[in-house]
Amino acid sequence: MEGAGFFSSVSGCATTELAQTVKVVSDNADCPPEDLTPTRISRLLEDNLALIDKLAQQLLSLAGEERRRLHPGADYEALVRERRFTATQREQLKTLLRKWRALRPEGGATELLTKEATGSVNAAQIIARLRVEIENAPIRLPPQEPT
Amino acid sequence: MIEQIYLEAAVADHPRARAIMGRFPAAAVAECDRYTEIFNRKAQNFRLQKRKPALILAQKFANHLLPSPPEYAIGGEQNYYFSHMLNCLYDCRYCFLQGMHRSAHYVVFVNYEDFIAAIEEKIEAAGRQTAHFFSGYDCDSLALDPVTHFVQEFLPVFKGRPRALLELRTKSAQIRSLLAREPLPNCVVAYSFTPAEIASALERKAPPVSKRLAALQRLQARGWPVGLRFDPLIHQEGARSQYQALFAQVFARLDVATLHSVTLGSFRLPKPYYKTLSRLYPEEALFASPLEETDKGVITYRKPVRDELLSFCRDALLSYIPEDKFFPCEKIA
Repeated sequence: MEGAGFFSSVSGCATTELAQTVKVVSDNADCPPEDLTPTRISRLLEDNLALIDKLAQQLLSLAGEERRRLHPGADYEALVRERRFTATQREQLKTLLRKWRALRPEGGATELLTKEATGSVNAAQIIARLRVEIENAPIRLPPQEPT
Repeated sequence: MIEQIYLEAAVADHPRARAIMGRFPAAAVAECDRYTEIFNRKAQNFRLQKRKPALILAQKFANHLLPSPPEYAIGGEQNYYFSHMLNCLYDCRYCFLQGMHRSAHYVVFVNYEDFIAAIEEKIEAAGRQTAHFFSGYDCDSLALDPVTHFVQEFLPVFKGRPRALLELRTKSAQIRSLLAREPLPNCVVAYSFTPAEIASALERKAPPVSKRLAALQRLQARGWPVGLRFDPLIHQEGARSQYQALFAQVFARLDVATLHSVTLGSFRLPKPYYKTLSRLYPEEALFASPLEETDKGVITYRKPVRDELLSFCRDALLSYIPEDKFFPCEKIA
């Protein structure tokens, strides 16, 4: 019952692949709940800690990959530090920088767009410039990395 | 390969479900009432699931056959598609299935008998008209054939029914079951191709172009009608010369005289699917490249790029094949 409640709550925070419930069964027909004691419950959990930890590490690793994949990147951090972007512009910038990285995996957005390189242009001009660069970028589909 | 099987209770004793489960004796099996309890639930991550998809064995209750869009026809007067399976073993980045389903699990509907009854009914109802049936829209027709025995079960339906035609659409080199049978003149084995440079970038886990071509050649030599599907056409730097080289490679090895059909279509996705895919794969140049929405709500290459590649490929293909074998999926400017 508690598991169902927990699962329902966390499902709003993560995809189902990252929301998992591990049940340590404490009682059944052979072990009635009356036989449970605090010591026995602690031992049951202690005996399964290695398994729980292994699963948690795997999930943390997956969650970390997802976080890194969706992170807007160092370019984004550098640009928003230098200029004032509205909330909408920040979202546009994230999208455009993702496209930039997809089309130009060698990077270079920071070098092209930082204050030093662009002088006094504002956030809107940065976004416009990025759009033009993406429009004109050659499309090269890189061979897949071995999995 | 499969570590987890979900089994609908209603098909738990179905002989086909038992046989399929027998192929994966080490898999954990969990029973469910309906496959939708696992498949296409909210908040699933296709990309994570694709790493280790489960197999779901289920029953399809309705809509065993659906009319297929007219632009995908290859000469039939009536056209239907059916899906004994949802999702694909391969992981092609441009595939619409990733946008259509939230789950990457494989669903196999084991009640083939209901699909077959629906096909027979349509064939009868078509009377003197030709009826074409496409099996590879929501899955690869052959990739899981050693497990599903799809070919063995469905091909006999078409034997002796010359007005009906079955298309097996595939990238798979799993052709043993076809090579072991007498060819059917009304079963077309259609292979999808992109140039090797594009395939190696976008068609993960799929056999390389050279293996597909070798399979196609063997099937043609055995007497099977074969088809070529250059759909989707993918644009990148050097695409024209890459497609030209692909066509030269293909037609140097195939006998055009017995080739059934060739189709051609641009990379395109319904807008909601495109949005899902570009969120799933933000690092893909394919989705970052300049695209536009058509008035039908489809995301595709901008018109000049699309028209240029389509007309180039059409002209190149028509230098190898007669026009009556050519079925473009869209109007070419």
